[in-house]
This record gives sequence, C-alpha cells and structure tokens, in this order.
Amino acid sequence: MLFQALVTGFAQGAMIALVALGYTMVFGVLKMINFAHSEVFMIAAYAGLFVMVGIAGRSSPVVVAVAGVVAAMGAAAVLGVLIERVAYRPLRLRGKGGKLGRVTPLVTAIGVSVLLQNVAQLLFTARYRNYPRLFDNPRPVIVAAALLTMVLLEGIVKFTWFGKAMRALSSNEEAARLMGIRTSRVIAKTFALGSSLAAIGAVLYCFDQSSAYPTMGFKIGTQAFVAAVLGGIGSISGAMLGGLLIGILGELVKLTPYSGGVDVLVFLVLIGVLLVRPAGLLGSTRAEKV
Amino acid sequence: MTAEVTAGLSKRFGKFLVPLVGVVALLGLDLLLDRVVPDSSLRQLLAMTACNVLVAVSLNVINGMAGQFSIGHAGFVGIGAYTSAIVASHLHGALGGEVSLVKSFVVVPLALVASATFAGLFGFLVGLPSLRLKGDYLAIVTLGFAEIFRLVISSAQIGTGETAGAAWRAVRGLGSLLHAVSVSLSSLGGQMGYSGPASDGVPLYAGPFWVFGVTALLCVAAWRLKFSGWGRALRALREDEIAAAAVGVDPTRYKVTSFVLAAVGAGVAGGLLGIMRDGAPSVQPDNFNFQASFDAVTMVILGGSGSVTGAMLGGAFVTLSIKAIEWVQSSPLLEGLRSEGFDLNALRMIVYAAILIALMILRPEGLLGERELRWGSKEQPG
Repeated sequence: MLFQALVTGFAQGAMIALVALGYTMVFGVLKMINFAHSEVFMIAAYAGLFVMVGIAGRSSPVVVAVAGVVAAMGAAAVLGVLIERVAYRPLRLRGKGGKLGRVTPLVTAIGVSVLLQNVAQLLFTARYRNYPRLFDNPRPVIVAAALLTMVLLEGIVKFTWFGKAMRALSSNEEAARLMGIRTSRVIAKTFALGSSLAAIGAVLYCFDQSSAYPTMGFKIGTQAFVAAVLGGIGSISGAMLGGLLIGILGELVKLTPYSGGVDVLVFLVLIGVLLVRPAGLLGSTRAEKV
Repeated sequence: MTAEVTAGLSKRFGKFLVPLVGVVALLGLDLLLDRVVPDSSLRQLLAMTACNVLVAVSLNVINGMAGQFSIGHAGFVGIGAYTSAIVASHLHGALGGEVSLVKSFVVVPLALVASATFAGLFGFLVGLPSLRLKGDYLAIVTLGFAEIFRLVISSAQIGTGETAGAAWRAVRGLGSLLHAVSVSLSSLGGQMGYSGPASDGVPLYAGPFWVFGVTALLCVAAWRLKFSGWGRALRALREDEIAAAAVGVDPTRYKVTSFVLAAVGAGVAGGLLGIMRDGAPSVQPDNFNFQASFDAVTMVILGGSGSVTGAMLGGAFVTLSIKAIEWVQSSPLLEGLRSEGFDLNALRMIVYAAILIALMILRPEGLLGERELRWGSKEQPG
C-alpha cells in the first residue's frame, strides 16, 4: 500500500512539477507571482479536451493524445502571451515603485485569474466534462512524458540562446538589457514556454483525473505554487523537487484518516516554508527580501 | 461670565447631543423599520450592506493604510460569524424565551465582543508573518489562512472527528487533544453550516439598532484612526519603511497592530452577519470562500486604497450589485437564459475583474485615491 502510494504520488508530483515550473520561470524573469497560471492550466485542459473529443476514435490513442497535447500547448502559449501583453506589460512599462508598487501587479494577476475562471464558467458552464479514456493505465505515460519534458526544459534553459537570455534576465534585468537582450521578447517567450508546460501538465492531469471543470485550476494551481515555493521560487530544479515532494506528501496523507486534509496540509506546508526558510529548499539563501 | 458658562455648557452638551440623537434614532429605526420597509429581503439587503461596509472599512486598514496586502479577509469575517452564532445560540438557550430587543442588549454585545476577540487573536497570528513577508508572499499566507479555516470547518463532519480521534488515540495526550478538537469542530455542522446546538437555527438578535449603530461607530473609529498619529505613522511606514523606522516608528508594532485591528473589524462585521435580524439562521462555511475575499478586495480598491469613505462606498456598491444580480437571476424574465445555463454571477465577476485590471493599469490608486468625501469645505488634513 505504501509503495503504491509512493508511485501514485510520484506521478502526481511530476504533473504538479510541470505546472510549478511555469510559476517559477515567470517569477525568475518578472519577480512576480503569475496567479493566472492556474487558469492557463484550466483553459489548456479544455483545449486539449475539445480536440481529443473531436478526433477520438478516428486514429490511434497515441496520435489523439499527442494532438490533444499540442493543441493544449498552443492554446496555453497564446493565452499566456496575451495575458502578459494585456495585463502585465502596461504595468511594467509604467515602471516599478510608487506607493502601491508591490500591490498593483498582485491585484492585476488575481484579477486576470478571476476573470479567466469566470469566462470559462460562462463559456463551458460549471459541469464536469469527462476526458476520453485513451490509456488503460495512464500512470507510466504520465511519468514518462513529464520526465521527458523536464529533461527537454533543462536542455532549453542550459544550452540554447533563449535559455541563456532568460537566466541573464533573471539575475539582472538592467545588465541583460545593456548586453543587447530584448527583455520584452524574452519575457513573452518565457510566458509562452511556462504556459505550454502547464498545458502538458493539464492534459496529463486529466488523463489521470478524467474530467475538466472551470475551478480545477485553483486546487492544482495552489499545489503547484506551493511546490515552487517549497523548492525555492525562481529555481527550476527546485520546482521539480518541490512538485515531487508535494505529490508524494499528498498521497501519503491519503493513507491516514485525514484524507480530506490534503489541501489544509498544502497550505500549512506553504506557511511553514515561508516562515522558516522563505528561499525554499534549493533557493539561494542570499538575503533576498521577500 | 454667564455667557461663557452657557457657551461651555452648550459645547459640552453638544458633544453628547450627536451620539444621543443617534442612539434615539437607531432605537426608533429598530422598532419601526419593519413597518417602513415591509419587504424582509430589502431589510436583509440594508443590513448586509452595513456589514459589508464594515468589512471594506476594516480591510482598508491593512490594504489601504498599512500598505500590506491581504486576500484572506473572509477568513476573519467567517471566524466572527461562527463565534457570534455560537455565543448567541448558547446565551439564547440559557436565557430562554423569545428573541427581543431588551434581551439583545445582553446577547449582542457579548457575542460581538467574543467575535472581535477571537478574530483579533487570529489577526495577531496572521499578522506575525507580515514582519518577514511582503507583497505576494504575505497575500498568499492570508489566503492560506482563510482557506485553512474554511476547509477545516467544512471538512469536519460528525463522524470524521470520531474516526480521526480513534486513530490518534494511540498517541497519548496529543491524540486526546486532537480528538477533542475534531469532535468540537465537527459539532459546527461541516459543509451544511452551523445552525445552533440543536440545529434549530441561530437566534437572530442583531436588529437594525445594532447593525447600523455598530457599523457607524466603527466607521467613525476608522476615520479617527486614519487621521490620528497612529494613522500617520502607518502611512509613513507604507511610504518608506526604513525612513519611518529611522524616525522612531516601530514597524513590528504598527504592522501587527494594523492586522489585529482589521481582524477585529472583520470579526465584528462577521458577528453581525451571523446573528443579524432578517439574515439566514445558519452560518455556511462557503460564504467565506476566496470569492468573498476577492469581493472585499474589490470594495477597497474600487473606492480607493486608503480612503475610509471610499471603502464605505465600495462596500455598499459591491453588495448592492451582488443582490441586484441575484434578483435579476431569479426573475422570470430570464427564464430562457437560465435554462441555457447562463451564469450571471460569473458575468459579474468578469466585469469586476476587468474593472480591477483596468483600474490597476490606468489608475492604481482607485477612484477616490486616498481622498475622502467630505461635507463642507474643510481642508484635506494630512
């Protein structure tokens, strides 16, 4: 039973890690929490669902699944860039500081999140929509896909020009701009990349949980956010570690009589981490004022 | 000489005159409102508006004056509502008989004091992290606190407490403590809401006298607070923490105090909501979810962060719009739309969220900014 829980937790954690990566990457370049990320996750789940339902049965399950993932990634990337363009960029261009400098992006992000969630409620109604059952046992597929994605991401961040630019931007925006990096473009690309990761996570999540609904982003988004903070927000390997830890922890709690307490525990972990070690497990302990 | 004495007397008398007239007017309102406004749902709306004005004014202390950011205010409101409902139900049981205005002078103050104390205690706990955390992180902690409160209450049902306690009894001491806690939590009715110890409804003691009176009193208190030395220190801290600390404003004390005060205000607002006349005779955990917190943030930002009158206007406006939509939604005119699953509340949230985003981009200080609405041509102080 314990082993089973660990395996399930690992699969869950891999998905959470994919979503957590989006939070952590955006935080890296913009130093803000993109609350709308959980809604990007939800919209991507719907996009994948509609495409898969549309072509299910006409081709092999693998083709359908890949088509769904690609569609979800496309929708999420477009949405992510759009959010950045419409809601965050005007704030950034106006410049930071001012007496409400810290609060303004936060309210905007929460506003975008509430907006998208209710748009989904209006367009897709609140009912649960079932995902097509493509695999009898989706867990190995989920773990394999998630791990492959993470390896690819490591490659992008470490070895491509874009990855280098992103890291440069994350460590010092001013210097990055002086070195000829087009910061706005890199930020937009970061949103696209982070959102498509969330889209992969969303489709995999739905293979496991089998339904999409407008408020699904809140729960998984919270877990992913906590994972990102636990691992050290801004750190990519930290997000992966945090995701796995949260996934396994959640499954272990389900073995106890407090199975309903997973969400409470996730928030407790978050508050605990923020109070004891705000930089997270793998974050830099260099005094960063949070 | 005599002129001076009469002037002094009338001045002293004038000081008491306004509150006296206010109390008499409120008592009259309490007795007559049923006749003036025969529609009970309209009376409920008025009382709800007053409570939400209080919610907005109290959140304004953290989000506007102190420049911190809380998106978990509904948690404090919820704690207040549960506390006052429990206290009022038990007092009602002890006093016996019917709900009356005379008895409300015993029950309501005790219930509200309990609500304020309890919420203030939690405000202190939530305020402590505000020393180490800023901006986004603090917001997350407040949200986490509110969600923990709601999840714990709604998942503690009769039965869960028993099994959980049994599992923990193996661990001595801690186990029995947990058992006691989960059993007492499960008596709060879980997802179904709390409606008195015998589930026969919470006695609704707080009539218009209490609802409007307490709201008015606390709004005046918030106003005085803003322009007091304390409020100025808080604003200095918001503008520049290091500079404020350098001239002797202790950030720790002021930040935690502002959290406690805001929580007390929210607790009283919740306390009134829990036992207000014409309200629902039960307290539901889902009334204090994230959407409620978001509504509270909307109230404060719409009116203008830091403005007491702005928060009052925002509170009234948001409440009225919520109710207006409920009425439109339940009207037969929209029968066709409703059967297609058209969700007006979602539309309202979309509009609010869009307004908030637009405000943040175009006018981040809100409609009034820090200004206050005033009668007469007094200079803006501070």
